[in-house]
Amino acid sequence: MSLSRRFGGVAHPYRTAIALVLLIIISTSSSGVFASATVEPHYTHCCLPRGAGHGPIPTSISGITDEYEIVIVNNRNASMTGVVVYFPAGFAFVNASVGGGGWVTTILRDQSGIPAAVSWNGSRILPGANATFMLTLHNPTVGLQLSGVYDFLVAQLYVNALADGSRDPVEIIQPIRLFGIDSSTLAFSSIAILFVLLALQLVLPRRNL
Amino acid sequence: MPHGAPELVAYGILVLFSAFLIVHWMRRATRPASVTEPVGRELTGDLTAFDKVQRLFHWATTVVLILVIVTGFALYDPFTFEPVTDALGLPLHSAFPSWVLVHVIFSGLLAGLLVVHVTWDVGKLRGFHHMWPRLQDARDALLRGKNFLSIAKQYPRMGKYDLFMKNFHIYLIISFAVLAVTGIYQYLYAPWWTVIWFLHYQIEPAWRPTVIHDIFGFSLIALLIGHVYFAFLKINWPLLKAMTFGKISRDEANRRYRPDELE
Repeated sequence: MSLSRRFGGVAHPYRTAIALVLLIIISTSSSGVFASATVEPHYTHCCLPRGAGHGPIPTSISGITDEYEIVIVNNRNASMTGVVVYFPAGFAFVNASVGGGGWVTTILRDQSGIPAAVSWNGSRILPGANATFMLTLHNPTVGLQLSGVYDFLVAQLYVNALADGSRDPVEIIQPIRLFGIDSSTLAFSSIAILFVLLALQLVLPRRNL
Repeated sequence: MPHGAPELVAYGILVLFSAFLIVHWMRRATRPASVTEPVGRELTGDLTAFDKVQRLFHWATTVVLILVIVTGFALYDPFTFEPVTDALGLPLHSAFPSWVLVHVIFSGLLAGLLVVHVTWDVGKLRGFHHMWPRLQDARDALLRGKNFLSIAKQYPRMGKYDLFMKNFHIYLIISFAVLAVTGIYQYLYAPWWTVIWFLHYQIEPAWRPTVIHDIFGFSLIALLIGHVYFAFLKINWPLLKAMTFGKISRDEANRRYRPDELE
């Protein structure tokens, strides 16, 4: 993992300015205007189908540490030279990584010093190509009936100073567990055990239960 | 995440009830119930316990109620139900209004069956007194409870319906009334399936008909599981046979029941 922590900002001031302008544009526009980035928690792949919460958006679990896969597609004719991902307030940064070589990871912090975004620079995504970046974050805690939809803001920077952006929602839900087992699984398992016991009567011929 | 009542409450009702029934089975497997009460008037022939209309109503209600529960469960917890619709190739998340409509149609059918039931059993057979709890039922239930806990060795004979079945029947009346009122209210005034999820609670009144509907619905499911469990216990097979074929044999009636109370 090539992880460089340069606290306080990215290498090039103009990139920061562009990224901030993009942040404002993205956060005030409706999602889906740009579609060249996707953010998907690992939990959606392993344990819950997409849209397990309330809509067709990726889902993760309250209070756990999850890996977020950020897939960036270069839809322009110019090479992409940088990516900035702003994760929503309430998510705690744990780690960042990228598969391909040459990318330098930089953690951006807010005024109080808390990580608020990660940028990747130093390599290129050629036109039509894509790259995958990984963020490990600790999810916020939500209530039993109060799931939350959080927007990840992704800014893509190009060699000719062009920029794209997208707003990618992730829903955080709170599944209920009884004795460490999902409550619906426990309920249906209990019922299944009951009917197995009923069937056992057939092999207990002398017992009149 | 389910709509309406919290999962902990809804599934908790099923878990608690199933756990009680599992304990009951374990107990009765090690200490079977043996009738100690002497028989009063003995039957000399087989007895018709349930006529054709009663049996037809019972099994038709069973089928319709299962369909009401299945469609209701799909609406309550679509995530858990999704594997079933996926296997059947049916749409779920995108077809909520259709699922609601099917749920409402089967509920209406159930209401129609209940009208037939009341007309026949109360109006024609004058059988209301069969379902009304008596002091003797309470005494029998107490003795059975003591036997279950090994406090007493005696075990009473049974009538056609014991205290638990009569209470179950009373709960069914209350439950159907509450489910009908809350269901109709949702359908007419608070159709949460027509608005985006985070507005569900905003279109509901403060008395939360969805939550009440779900809690009564899951309680009904739990009691129905209990009903099926007791019906399929070997000790109750004579009544199960009677509910299927109509008659209870003379020997079975004389062995475990109070013949006078079977008619």
